[in-house]
Amino acid sequence: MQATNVHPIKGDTEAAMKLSVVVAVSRNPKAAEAIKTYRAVLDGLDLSYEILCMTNPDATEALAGLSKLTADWPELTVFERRPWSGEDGELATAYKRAKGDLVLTLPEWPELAPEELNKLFEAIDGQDMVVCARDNQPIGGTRQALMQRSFRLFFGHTVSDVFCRVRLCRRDVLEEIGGFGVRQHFIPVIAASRGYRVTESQVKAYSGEVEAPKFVFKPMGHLRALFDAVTLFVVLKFLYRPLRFFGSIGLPIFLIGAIYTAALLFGRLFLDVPLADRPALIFSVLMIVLGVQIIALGLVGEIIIFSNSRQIKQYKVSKIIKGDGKTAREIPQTDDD
Amino acid sequence: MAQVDISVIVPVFNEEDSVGPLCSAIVEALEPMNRSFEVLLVDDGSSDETIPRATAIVAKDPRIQVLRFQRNSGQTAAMSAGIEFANGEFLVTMDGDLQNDPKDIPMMIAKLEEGFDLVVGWRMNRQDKWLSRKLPSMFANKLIGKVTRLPIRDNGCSLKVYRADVIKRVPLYSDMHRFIPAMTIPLGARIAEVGVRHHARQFGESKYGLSRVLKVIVDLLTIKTLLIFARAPLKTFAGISLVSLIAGLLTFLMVQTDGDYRVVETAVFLLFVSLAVFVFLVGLVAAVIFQSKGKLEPPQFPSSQKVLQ
Repeated sequence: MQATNVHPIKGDTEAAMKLSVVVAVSRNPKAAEAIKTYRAVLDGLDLSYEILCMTNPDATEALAGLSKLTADWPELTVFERRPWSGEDGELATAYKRAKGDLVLTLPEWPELAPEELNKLFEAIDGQDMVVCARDNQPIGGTRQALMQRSFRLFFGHTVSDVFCRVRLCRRDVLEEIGGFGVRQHFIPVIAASRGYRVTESQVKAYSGEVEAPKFVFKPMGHLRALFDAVTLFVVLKFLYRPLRFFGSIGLPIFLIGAIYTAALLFGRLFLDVPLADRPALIFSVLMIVLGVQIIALGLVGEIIIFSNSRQIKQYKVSKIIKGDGKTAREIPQTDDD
Repeated sequence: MAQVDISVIVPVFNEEDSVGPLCSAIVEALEPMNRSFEVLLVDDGSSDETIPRATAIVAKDPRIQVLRFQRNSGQTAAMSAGIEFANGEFLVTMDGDLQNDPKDIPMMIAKLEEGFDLVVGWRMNRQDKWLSRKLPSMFANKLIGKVTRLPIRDNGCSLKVYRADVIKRVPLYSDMHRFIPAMTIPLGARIAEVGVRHHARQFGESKYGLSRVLKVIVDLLTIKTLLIFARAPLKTFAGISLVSLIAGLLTFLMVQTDGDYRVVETAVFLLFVSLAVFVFLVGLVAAVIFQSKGKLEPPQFPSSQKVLQ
């Protein structure tokens, strides 16, 4: 990986970094122009910040523009030419490198009016993540509704502007969610289903001309997304209760197989119905075998969780508030505490 | 924090109206005991005014602390955190909705000091709706009692008092908080049950609904299954394996008796034998997992457990 521009950030130490802006560039050759539109707002935030711009090997033209931009924008760092496995991989890498307490994710093309970014910073107070709800969403109708229904089905939460990539969140939220495999559009609903406070901010969409990539129907891509959603659903819901998941699949299969086998044997023994010339018995016994195997796998998973229950923490204490009779003080907690 | 006599653990979630009166009631109940105590409010990711109000209370009374979760993690996690952070010799758990009465704590601690490890409260005059809360609870308690063979009248009552060295050894995960008494049995815990007061909810709404009945049943089945296998994993899995093997052998005998080469019976025989091998190997894996956790004491339900009333 080559970092083309690694500069100290406005004289602040690393520990004082407040904001990391993350941009994944892969398809927009004019990404530099898009990112530049946000500079005035970012400079005016009165926060120390860094911009991590991840590019992939196809973004040659965009990389040239971004390299020029780094010359007079010390906060901008461009990571170039690495096969990241697409936008999701770029973002996952950027999130790991982010040093700011807050992480702002921006797309490679302008999605909202730059001054609207301020609304996100106002809304983050008391929240863990702020997502945007644009007043004039470019993608609506069936796709939006389908995604929202899927999110509600799998995660129990949804957002009103599923396709908006602009979001602001606390870094520690991303640290946990990153462990589930980051898929761009799933991030807010994963956060919400994990119990984080996610809020929406009403913003104005970008009013200028945007050359956003057109929607291309990719069957395999959508199938992968569906598998990701199912995997995440299982992980989020049954991570600490594997027997419930495997049992809910294995037990019905086992019971159907057992009842079917019993009926076949009854017919063979008492009604003299022949079994040897048809595969019914193989099928019913196969169901028993499959059911037992699935339940057994769940049981092993449950035993692993049970055995490690003293080491596994299902909670994270963010701070302890103590008093001295006059004032209260907050003691931030880290993983080492 | 230094060791104290009593730690009161209260999970709170969006209890902005209750948190003030609750802390006052706990302090009023414990101060006359002349014992050192701490109150741990475990905030499970509240989004209302619970935290600012709790902070104001904490500022005035150093005996009260707040553990703030980064996100909503559930009641078991909140209890687990409170138990881990508590410094008391005796740990008291209770709900944060003012339905439990802290005035019962001294009586429960006195009972504990008679030689028990766990004192469980049961709500004598429960102030909840009969159809949506009391009836499912009665059903669940009967079921839990039958399955665990620990006849506790009111598993849903959060007001319980534990000896710290016992409760800190109980593995808590998923939604296990409802089954804490049953989980203490393998540790040789002596359990007593006492009647406690119960008040109608004054503020906010209950976070429970009828849906939890199904969850309790599923949890119960899971825990029962887990504990049966945890007692002797290889032996239990080997038992299932043996059943499968016998079924396979019976099918094999049918093939031999018939004399002809029978495709269906042979396939069934092979399926049963493969299942027997698979289950036995899974049992080996389970045994290895338990062996690798040397200090783990798999809970075992006794044939019956006496609960003193």
